[in-house]
Amino acid sequence: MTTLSTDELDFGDGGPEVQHEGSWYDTVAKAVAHLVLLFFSAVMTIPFVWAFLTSLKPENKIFTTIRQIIPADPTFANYVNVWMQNPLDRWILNSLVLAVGVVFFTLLLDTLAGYALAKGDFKGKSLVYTLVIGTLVIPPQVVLVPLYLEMNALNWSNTYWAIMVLYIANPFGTFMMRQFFLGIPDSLIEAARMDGCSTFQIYTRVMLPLAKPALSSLGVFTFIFVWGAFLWPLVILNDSSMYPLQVGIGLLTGRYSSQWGQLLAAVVIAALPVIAAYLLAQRTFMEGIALTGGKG
Amino acid sequence: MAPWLLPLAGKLGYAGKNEPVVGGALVFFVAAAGVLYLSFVRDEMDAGPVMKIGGLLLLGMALLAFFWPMRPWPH
Amino acid sequence: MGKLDIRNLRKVFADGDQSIVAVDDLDIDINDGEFLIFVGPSGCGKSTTLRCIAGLETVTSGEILLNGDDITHQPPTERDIAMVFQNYALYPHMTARKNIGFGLEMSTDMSGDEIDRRVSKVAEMMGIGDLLEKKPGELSGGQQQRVALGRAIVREPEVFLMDEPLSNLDAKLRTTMRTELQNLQQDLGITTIYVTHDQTEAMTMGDRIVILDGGELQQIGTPLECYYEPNNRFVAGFIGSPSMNFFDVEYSDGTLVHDSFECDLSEETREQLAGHEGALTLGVRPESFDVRGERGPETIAAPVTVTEPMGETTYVYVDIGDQQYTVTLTGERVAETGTTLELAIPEEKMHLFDAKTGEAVKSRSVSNATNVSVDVRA
Repeated sequence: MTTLSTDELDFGDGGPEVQHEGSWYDTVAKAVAHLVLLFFSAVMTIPFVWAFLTSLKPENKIFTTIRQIIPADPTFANYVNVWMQNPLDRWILNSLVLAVGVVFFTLLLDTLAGYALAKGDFKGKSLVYTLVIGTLVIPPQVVLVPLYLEMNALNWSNTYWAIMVLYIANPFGTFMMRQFFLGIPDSLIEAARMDGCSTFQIYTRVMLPLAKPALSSLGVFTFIFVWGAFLWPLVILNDSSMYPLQVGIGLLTGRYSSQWGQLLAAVVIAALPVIAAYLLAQRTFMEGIALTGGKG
Repeated sequence: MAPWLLPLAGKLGYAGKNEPVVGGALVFFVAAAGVLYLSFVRDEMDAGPVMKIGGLLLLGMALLAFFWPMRPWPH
Repeated sequence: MGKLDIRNLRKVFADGDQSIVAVDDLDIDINDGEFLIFVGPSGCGKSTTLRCIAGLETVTSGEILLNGDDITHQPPTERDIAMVFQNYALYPHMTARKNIGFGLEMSTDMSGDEIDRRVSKVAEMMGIGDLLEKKPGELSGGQQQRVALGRAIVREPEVFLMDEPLSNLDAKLRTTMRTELQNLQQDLGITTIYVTHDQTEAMTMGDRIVILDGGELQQIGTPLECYYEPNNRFVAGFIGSPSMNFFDVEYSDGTLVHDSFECDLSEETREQLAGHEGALTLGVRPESFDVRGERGPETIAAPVTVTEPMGETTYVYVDIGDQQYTVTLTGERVAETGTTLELAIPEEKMHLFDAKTGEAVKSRSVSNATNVSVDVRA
């Protein structure tokens, strides 16, 4: 049996060799870009990692071993202590009440408003849209005092509503949903009308399902934002049973200023839901808002 | 809004140390109803497991908030 | 039964201070089971008319009657009319089955089983039975088209409206779908209004063509009527490909005078032209030219500038005066660029239009033409 050798054959087909001219330059550019990225992600993540590692150290060793980043004998004592000595569960519940309420009603109102602004036809539409965008440029600190007085006048200070109402009608979300609905062709709405949908049915049966990717990103954005809200809850609430987690943790420093380990443990607990929310929605973030109707 | 609604809402929106969080229960319940409706009744939404479990979880949260005094406080 | 009457339909869009008349005083009677084509250049009001019939656009004035009932102000659902959109407008989040059944689900109280049964039946008819569980994004253009058609058919409407349904398909598929649509319409016998800007589609598909321009009705008639007896210069130029050649001529003493040629007219034609002395427009279809072998008293010398062999025929572009005109030759004839054709214009194939109003003064008789073509169509 003979074997055919291909060793001496030239498969180059006589074509010119493709030599990447700028390959050296490309490698350097890529390396520099990665270095910059690495540097900034390190700036962002190191404090968190450090906080996590420190929270594993026993309270009395935090300052003595401050140069030793990785704890010698990690312990969850701080987590247990902070949970036992403070009403963390109630604060988490408060935070969840606020976050769930704000996210749910934000999605509801922002999709309705965005749908109206994108596809509706009514007098003063551009004025309304300008107002929505206009509210985006007002810094929240400016309206803090008037809002406080307003909520007092309503007798709503020290309630969940005072916090939720402020965050619910979110102009950014309205803007985002409007942009999304603009991308959906009108003919889809017309087809739904021909099929016998009322305006509201078009919203629930066609627009809302189509907006699912946009809804989940907006939902996660809003959740993270409300979960981290601090200043306004701090101002409007005066009863520790009503505090959301961030305010509760913030006030821990005053009363237990020496217990850094417990504080860091609470902070790590507070960060968990945000990380979870991000991981859950990551796929949708990646997919982006690529789903609009019409020809596939 | 009816004038009697504001103080009532104010009362619902506050919960003391070991009181049930009625306002919170309401919020969770409304959100749960909305999510469950979209994920189980409206098949247009094509809801994934995250949404379905999330809806049930919200319902659980509503119960939790309503029967709050879980851990008497101060401990 | 689907007899649709449009009476004095008028649609005005307000755009800031000024108003735009999209459809002006349109009056059409559409017979039951007819395949009617609305054709015209973009902005002629054909789509607006269709949308008025569908109920997607409010009517400024006028009436739309379906089987004698006034439906002018009814919401789209109650009109018993189905529409196929240019981009198909399939719901991307629903499977083909849901897409087709959605209208039944929303507008009737049929049971789920009944809807399923009907959807499957229509899907079999459209040849998409095995694609029902796929979403529009997974379907090809032609398959989406079929789903969109199925969605319209399943409701068993009185009238079908189609807004340029083939324009998103590639050329080959378009030809196939054209035939398929015609067959489908004939099988179902549902009155169909089809909007297109493509005069080929208009000529080949319709029982009758409605030609619109600037919101006004130009002509309504069978494809051959529109081709052989155009009402005016616009219709003459719009229908037919390549389009008709127009010459500015003066008519006096029984003779048409152009800068480059003169034509003596027969007694019969002179009678038709009585009272139209002065400026006229002479229209000649590219295939109507008579190419002579040698120069004669009635021939026009036309130097060839460009030839476009199409196989069966060849389009030859020639210069007469300082204008370019088109002549269609049968495929075997060869005309080289740079040579000169000797053309004659047969009198019976002349179209003459009033130079100012564009109204037809003399047309070819359709009766001769149809005699020939009846066999072709049958």
